[in-house]
Amino acid sequence: MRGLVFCGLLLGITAGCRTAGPAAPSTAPLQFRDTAAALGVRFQCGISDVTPLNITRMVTGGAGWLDYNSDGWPDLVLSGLRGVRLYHNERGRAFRDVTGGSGLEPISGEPQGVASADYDGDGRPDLLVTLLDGMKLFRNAGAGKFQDVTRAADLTLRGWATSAAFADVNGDGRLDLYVGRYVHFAPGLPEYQIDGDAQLSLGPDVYDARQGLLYLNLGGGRFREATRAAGLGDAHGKTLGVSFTDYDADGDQDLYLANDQALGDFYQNDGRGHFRNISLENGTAASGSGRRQAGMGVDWGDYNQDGRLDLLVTTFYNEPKSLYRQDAGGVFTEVGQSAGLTLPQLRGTAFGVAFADWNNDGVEDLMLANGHVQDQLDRVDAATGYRQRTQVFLNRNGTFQDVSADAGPAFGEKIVGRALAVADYDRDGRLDAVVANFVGPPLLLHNESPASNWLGIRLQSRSRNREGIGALVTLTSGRVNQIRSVQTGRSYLSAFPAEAHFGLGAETHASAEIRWPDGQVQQVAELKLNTVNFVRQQN
Amino acid sequence: MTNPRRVRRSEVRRTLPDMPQSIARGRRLPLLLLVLVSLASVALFLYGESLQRWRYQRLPTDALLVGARTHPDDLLLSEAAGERLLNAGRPLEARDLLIPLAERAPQRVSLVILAGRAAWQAGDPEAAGRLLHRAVEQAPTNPEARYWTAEFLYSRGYAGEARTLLQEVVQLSPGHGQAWCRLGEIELNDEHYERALEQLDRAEKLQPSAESAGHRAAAFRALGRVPEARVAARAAYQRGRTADNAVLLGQILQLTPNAPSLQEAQELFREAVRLNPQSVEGYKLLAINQRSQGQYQEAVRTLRRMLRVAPAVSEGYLLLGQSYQALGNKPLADAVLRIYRAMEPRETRVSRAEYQANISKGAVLAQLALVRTYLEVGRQDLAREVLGRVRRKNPEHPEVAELLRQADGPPTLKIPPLPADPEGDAP
Repeated sequence: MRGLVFCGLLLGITAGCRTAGPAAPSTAPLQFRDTAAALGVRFQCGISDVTPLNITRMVTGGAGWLDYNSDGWPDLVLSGLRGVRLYHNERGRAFRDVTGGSGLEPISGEPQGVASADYDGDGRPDLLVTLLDGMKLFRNAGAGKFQDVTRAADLTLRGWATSAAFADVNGDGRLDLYVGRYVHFAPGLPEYQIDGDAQLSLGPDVYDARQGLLYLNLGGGRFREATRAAGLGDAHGKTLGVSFTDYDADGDQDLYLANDQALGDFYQNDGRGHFRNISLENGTAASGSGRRQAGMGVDWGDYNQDGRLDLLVTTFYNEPKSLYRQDAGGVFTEVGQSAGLTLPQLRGTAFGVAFADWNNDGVEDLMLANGHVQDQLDRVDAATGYRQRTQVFLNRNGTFQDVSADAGPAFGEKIVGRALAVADYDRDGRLDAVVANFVGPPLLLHNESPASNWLGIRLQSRSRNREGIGALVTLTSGRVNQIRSVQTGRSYLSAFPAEAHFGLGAETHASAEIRWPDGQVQQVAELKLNTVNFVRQQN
Repeated sequence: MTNPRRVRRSEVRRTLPDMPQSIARGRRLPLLLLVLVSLASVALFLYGESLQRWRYQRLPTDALLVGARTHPDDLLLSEAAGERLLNAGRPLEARDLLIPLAERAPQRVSLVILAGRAAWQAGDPEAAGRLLHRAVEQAPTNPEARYWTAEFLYSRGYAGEARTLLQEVVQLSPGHGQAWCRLGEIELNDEHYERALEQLDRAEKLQPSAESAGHRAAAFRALGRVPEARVAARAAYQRGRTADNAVLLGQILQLTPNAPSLQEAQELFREAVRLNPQSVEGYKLLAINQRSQGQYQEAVRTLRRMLRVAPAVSEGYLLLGQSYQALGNKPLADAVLRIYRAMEPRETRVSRAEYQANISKGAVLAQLALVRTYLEVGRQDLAREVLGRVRRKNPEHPEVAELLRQADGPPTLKIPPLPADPEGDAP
């Protein structure tokens, strides 16, 4: 046996509990239901009783999935101006607020977003919360307790931290950390402009950019800031989206930064933890027309199934969403137009974004969390509006079709969407999503689309990067190959489970090739269907 | 049963040949003459000017101009000459001919309107404003006076004032297709798409034009009504085969992401740059289309052509460098991206000034600050564009003339020449 596959043994979960449930009685290809209220999730990440909002209160709202108690059910964490909330997943039937006594309360400093990974390799996912000024690292101490270890970890970042992501950038087996930063704002700086009856916040162009920072994990619970030494000092700043991946499958972690009103930064890792900004050369710096764009969220996925990871960057109102197709030689071409992403209906202000195979047909679909930033916008431009609809797309042979109108009432609800994170919270084999909402409770989108075969893969590596974050998993089923990058830092202010999910349609056999973060390639001959497969790295 | 008093027309015709011709002619001639003379008198009374105008329209332009100069009292002749000169793109001669006459005959509203239009087109906004204002005062119910005043104001950036006047025009003359069209355009620019469509639909019914169809296409596109946008854009292009209309139709076709649409769009962008070899937008869209279809060598040719036309368009270098990169030509990619990098450090300062100008909604101070920033970074071309807008609204602003002087000439931003690439420059 070339790969060691064991299902449900490590965490004591049975295969039976993961069998796909009955399909919802619907003819629509995708169907979701908002279960937030029914399952007890009410946290509002922003405020709706103060107006006008200045720039510091426009882009907040994090969401993440992490199995903090290792019971096999993804738990939910939400963050925002009202603090952080941790919800225990009661086997998909309810979410119980367990923040009190967890050590996550209170958090001063206006939380922004979340990131999650087991940075100390103790088998428990830890939590990072970015703040308007700095960040806080919470070590998962077990038994539902988190310890604030920010100071002990030497995470001395100051300034407005936005999205963050963990990855082993120098191949030492420990998870390092990149934290994006936005702009410099201080009391006394101009805040608003008057537009007719509305007082609108000034945008990022008015403020000086702040660059993100890289922290190398030294082990022993400590980090060292190494941004310039790692070649990341020339980032444009104003970063809102951060995501690592091994886009060129050369065994190291590359980094993309989505920057607001600045060129995007694409850092190629030389394998030793030193980066070079190649966004101009490889075609990911600007929009398809070569212009700066308001980069917000970012995600990787192989939308055209050519075995190469493509990149999607969400943008501001009236800007096309940029889909960068990766071609041979690591060159990207922006193809939002030919992929159907330039329609006027798609010109909301999009933050959160996720490639995910919502209908398990073997192709990655898409979801966007939308919401404008100006809370008084309705007074001058009601058509655009502050509140906007979340959108879900079906991938039809590399072209995205907006199927939101038929995908359930949740997509008709206008919210101010920010983070968007994906996980199968009730383990029925269909990926669900949470969308942070600045002006109300989040959307907890339970996927009730017709069922198909699927499988999940969770990794256990030999290194301190226990969950194999950064690994590339290529699945073969029938004549189709699918590729996933195992990442927890995706989308916008969001945390995803370290799991690769694959839809299989009617296929009944699947094998996989795993390219571990240390470069080792491992074959897994036969994977079990309709369950999560746990794969341990071979010696 | 036949009515004995009813005589069929065929019977009358049948009786005439039976009568001796001389008798018949002799009886009818005076009567016919009388009728003809009466009709001619009535026609002359009613349509004399029109007939005269029709007669003038048959004369060549220069003959008209000579006639108008020789007979300055024939105001109709002068109007005909002035109108012809305006249509022939000779506004200076029209202005010189018409303004003195309009000053002499201020009660002749049609002449005053024409003189105002001539002054406007000749670049004399002061005289244009004065004359058109006078026409409106002179004839408050004359829709043409209001219409041309609205057009004049709109061209100078006073969209709100133009909208008010145009609304009055369509109240006075609901069949004024051009006024509906311009009203629709103003609503379109204000992103009031539904309202724009209502007005453009009326324009389209009253006076179908490439302009009204093009605006309808843009409104449909903004509303996401792609099939209707496609139909309207096709109509616009059929009515006016201009580069702009080709670009519009191509952009709309591209919204339907399939190979035939992308291919047809590509043909239209190619046609746009053929129709207008200076169309930067046409080149750029063509190159983007080619890149999205993996035609990088073609994109290189298009972008190099664009950069020869407009060497200061920085994004052209970025797209060109990336196209070379996709072709695996690293030396050329590096050389072109070096040019882009040299142009981009200005980004922060310029983007801040652009943002301030944008949020100030046309405030002169912010616009002039943007002009100064452009001049500092050597972008005289962009400075001129902004100054043009400022000057239209504030022709007497004390700083404008000096800044215009500074903005004269090509960009001083040092842009190295494109590296040689015989293949990329092949026709």
